[in-house]
Amino acid sequence: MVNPDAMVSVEDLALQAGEFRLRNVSFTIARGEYFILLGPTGCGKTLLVEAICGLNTPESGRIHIDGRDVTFMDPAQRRIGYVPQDYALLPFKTVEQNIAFGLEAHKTGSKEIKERLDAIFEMLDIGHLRKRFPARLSGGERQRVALGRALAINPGVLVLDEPLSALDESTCKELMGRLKELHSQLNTTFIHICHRVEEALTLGDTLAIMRDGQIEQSGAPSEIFSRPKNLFVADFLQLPNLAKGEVKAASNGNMFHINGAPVAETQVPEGPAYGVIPLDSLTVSTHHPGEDEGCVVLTERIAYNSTGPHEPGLRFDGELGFLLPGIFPKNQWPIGAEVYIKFPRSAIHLLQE
Amino acid sequence: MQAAGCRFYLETRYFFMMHSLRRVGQWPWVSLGAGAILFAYTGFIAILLAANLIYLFSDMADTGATYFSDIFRSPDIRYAAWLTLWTSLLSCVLAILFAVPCAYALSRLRIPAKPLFDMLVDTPIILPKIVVGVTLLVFFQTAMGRGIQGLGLQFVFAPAGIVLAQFLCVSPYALRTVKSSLDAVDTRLEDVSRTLGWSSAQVFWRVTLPMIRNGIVAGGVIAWALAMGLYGPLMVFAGTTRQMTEVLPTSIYLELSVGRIGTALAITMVMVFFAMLALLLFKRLVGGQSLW
Repeated sequence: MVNPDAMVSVEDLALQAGEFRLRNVSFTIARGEYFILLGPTGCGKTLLVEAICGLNTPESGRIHIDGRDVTFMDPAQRRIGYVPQDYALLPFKTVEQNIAFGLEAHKTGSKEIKERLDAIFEMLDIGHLRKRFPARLSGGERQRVALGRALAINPGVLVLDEPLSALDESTCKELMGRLKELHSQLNTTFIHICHRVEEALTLGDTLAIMRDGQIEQSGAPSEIFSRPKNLFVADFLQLPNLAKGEVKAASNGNMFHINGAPVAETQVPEGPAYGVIPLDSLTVSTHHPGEDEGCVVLTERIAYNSTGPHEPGLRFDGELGFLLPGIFPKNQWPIGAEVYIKFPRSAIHLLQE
Repeated sequence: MQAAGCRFYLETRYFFMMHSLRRVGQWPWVSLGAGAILFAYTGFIAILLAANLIYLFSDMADTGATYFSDIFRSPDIRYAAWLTLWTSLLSCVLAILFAVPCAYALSRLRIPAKPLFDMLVDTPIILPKIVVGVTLLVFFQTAMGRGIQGLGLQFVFAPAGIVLAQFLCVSPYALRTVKSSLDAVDTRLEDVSRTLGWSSAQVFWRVTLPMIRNGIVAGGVIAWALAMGLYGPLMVFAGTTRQMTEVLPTSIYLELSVGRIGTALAITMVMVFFAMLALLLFKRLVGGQSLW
């Protein structure tokens, strides 16, 4: 049964491409959501969005867009705006002709094409490029033209394949702002592929993290950050609040230890484990905060402390060892100082290799 | 002396830098070497052509013979020229009409036993050209071949046979040229166009064909040039009947075989002149860009 609120719904998709295989891929994207598909290079992100666009035929599974089963539908019928990684602008057409290309396919009248072109040129600020050929555009300009071409057909879903990966830092930041702005203006569902966590966090309402042709975890960024499903997800997101410890047998079940101190009871089997420490309920102080029934207090020495713009944060000596970027921006604690870290036991989330 | 040598080196280097937009760090001898080889190669071709012309005009002065006016006046040569022109153009058009879909199928479709098709396509390239003529002659002796001729279309010792033999010999070259330009087209352009609302057939006309325009023109030029110069298989399959199946390359061969070197060379020079003119025209057709 397809969720009526879902704009895109992928159920149990499997697809083979050469040696590579997508398997058991299932997720839904709500109407108007900014969905980020995140994962290392070669994990199958592009293959997955190509299947959504209709450029690859799945072996099994279903794809629904706006309630319609599009699994075997021609790409032309899906009304998906696709911006591939290399932009794929037609080199023999001008910017204006490239953007109008999709409109011509939909038998749009010349007056309407002109109005739509003007709207796109204004929205993306590319009016001055209209008579230029793609070979004479910069990377950022090509990106905007490809975006304009995809938006011109008024798509229900806009698919962006690594749109910012080939751009320099400042163009990238500018385009991130523009994408966010466009998303709120258009109320279109966005699917955005990327491999950079910062980009994903800035733009996404929902993240899905992929590895080796499978979705490892999907959900709101805050949920994934506080409860990553496994160590791969935690590592890929470069979670700063990951503490290495060990699960040992105790009298009433297993217990997770950091720096030898018991932290939380757990069902996780004995052996090395990692604890995701909840940042929202964590306090650091130079005086002992006092024991509290449901809380853990760990003692650590400060190994690195920077309040400057470059990598601001705290890193500790022991197993906790994590960096807390920007949580204590105005602290004056010197390196080597002993501090007490306090957080609720129940909030810790354990992961194993 | 050393200073002059050094200056010569620097000036030559500067010349190649200016004219080849040499990349930073590129070894200067690479540009010098490549430039020198290009000059030597094209120079050799120019000398060969010049030698032919010198031979023709010096011989003309000695004997008073006017080879050029002779060949223009000869009805046999005029007929052969016209036959060469229309048969080579027709076989070039046919070669392109077959090359484009075949190259598309080889480049884009998942065909079982593709290497086998690939090899069969190239077979006329590997075969000695004269064997193509013999093979055609043998084929038209079979029941199928006789059946085709029975339909009213005469190939053996007929102008249609010239077109068929030329088509067989030149189409693999056209196909290879078109296929290499098709392989170079980013299939993502076609993919994106399909998502924009165009069907696969429309994408072929509106995206793929314009993208391989230069490849098609280049393939056509190669096919036409090869067809113009072909004579071995034509002599075997279509014969050398004057005012019927004699094409210009056959005329050259026949003139040479009876020792009329001057007439043969005059025909050659006229062919070279018109071929060069056609090449220039084709280059204009693709917008002054390089054909291949």
